[in-house]
Amino acid sequence: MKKTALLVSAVLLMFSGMVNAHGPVRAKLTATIQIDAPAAKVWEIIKNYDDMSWHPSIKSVKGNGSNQKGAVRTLTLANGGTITEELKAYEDSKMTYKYKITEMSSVGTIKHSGQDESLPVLPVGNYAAELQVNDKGGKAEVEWVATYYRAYVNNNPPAELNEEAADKAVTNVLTTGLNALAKKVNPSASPSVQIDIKR
Amino acid sequence: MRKLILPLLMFTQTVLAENLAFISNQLDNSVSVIDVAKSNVTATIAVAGKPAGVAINHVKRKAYISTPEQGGFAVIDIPTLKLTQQVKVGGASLGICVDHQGQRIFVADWYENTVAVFDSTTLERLHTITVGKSPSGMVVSPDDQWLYVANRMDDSISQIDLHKYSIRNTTKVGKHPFGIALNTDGSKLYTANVESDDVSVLEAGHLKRLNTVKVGARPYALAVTADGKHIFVTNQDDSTLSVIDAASNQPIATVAVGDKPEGISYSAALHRLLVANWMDSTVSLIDPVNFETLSTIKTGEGSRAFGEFISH
Repeated sequence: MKKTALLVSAVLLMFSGMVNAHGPVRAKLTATIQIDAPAAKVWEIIKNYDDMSWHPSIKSVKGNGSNQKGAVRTLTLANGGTITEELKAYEDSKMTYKYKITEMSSVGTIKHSGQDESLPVLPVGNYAAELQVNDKGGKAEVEWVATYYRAYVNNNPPAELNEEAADKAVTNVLTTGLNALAKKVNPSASPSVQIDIKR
Repeated sequence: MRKLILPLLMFTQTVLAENLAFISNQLDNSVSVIDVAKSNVTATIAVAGKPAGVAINHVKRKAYISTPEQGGFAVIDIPTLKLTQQVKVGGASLGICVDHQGQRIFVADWYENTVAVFDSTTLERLHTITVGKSPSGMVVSPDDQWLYVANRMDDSISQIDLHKYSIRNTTKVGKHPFGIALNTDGSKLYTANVESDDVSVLEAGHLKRLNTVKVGARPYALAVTADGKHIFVTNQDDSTLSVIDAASNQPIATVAVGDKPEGISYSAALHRLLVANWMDSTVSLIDPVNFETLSTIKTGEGSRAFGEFISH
């Protein structure tokens, strides 16, 4: 855990220097964890699109029981916020699915450059992600790749809606989820999530 | 029949060897050079500044790569595949194109709302034209008289007179137009509208709006076949291409490609389409007759290739 936290802050520090250097660009954040269990066993826990009970930050999920492309799920977070996501691709044989956020609730507004700016529950724009379990010599490697923009589209974003805020929020969601998943498979494990951010 | 086919094939092969695709890899700070006929990467060239846009000067045999983070563009010499110059432009250069005679390079600046015109021989700035908000995709008419610019945040297209360097006309299109393309004779202009998930069809001479065609999620860029019959559009969030029939202005097919498809370019000599898949860090080689992917080529991370990126 400590190693992860250090790694994450190092990456975030590197990025804060570049913020505002250019226009909004899409970021690619890869979160990876090794779990000492067969890949199929791990996939079994996460494979149903409307079941995110393995993720502690998500209080409940409303879906339609489908793992078909186009299926929609609405997540209710621990803080009451909601995120609606559409399933973009699903392949059971490859133990993977892809989804994108189509709607988010707001957690308030701030004043910036004379305008009211809504704060989405996850401060990102155009978020899409892929969750995949790979078999690495009998053990599971879970890879969660998120792509997103910062939430603020114009130049000079406020701190709440800049790249750093987006990276921090996504890192937190993915790290919390993967750590909990590893613990669910093996309660005595000391999981370590690797985070890699590129933009 | 067999005797006839063989020499034709041989001839085609020698022509094919000339076609190189320059794929900007935004996250890798590099450009992958693909030999399109062989469908493999023949060189990788380091280009700093998050390379994004690509334009080819067929006359002077140069590839221009915009580098938004360095506010400029890089020049690659095609015969030697060496980076020869880096030119400073301004804030955040993204869209880039070149006229058909190969004399002028046009660079759109996302934040300064301008298009800078450079002399391709001296690499000196000739003019700066103020356009709409966040100019992105650009294309030049076949006679080098007009430059078309997508003003992304203004939801509009501007037509610039390349003799006077002034805007002749501006027309509203769908929401957030990004990539644009002309058909071969320059009579029709197509715009990929990212936020309204559609393509606007304009009569290019006077920017008259002819049609709006629904495509997939978050269309990014498009390419038209040499005969003008089909328009291919990359749908970033669907990992597909939409195929539009030009005669009916109807979507007639979709083609599965890689994830986050962005730049797309058409090779008339080979009759092939190439699509850069940002998320997968690959390029899809597409047969535009049968609407199918023929092969997938590994490139560098974050392949973008925004613009016309194939040399002939």
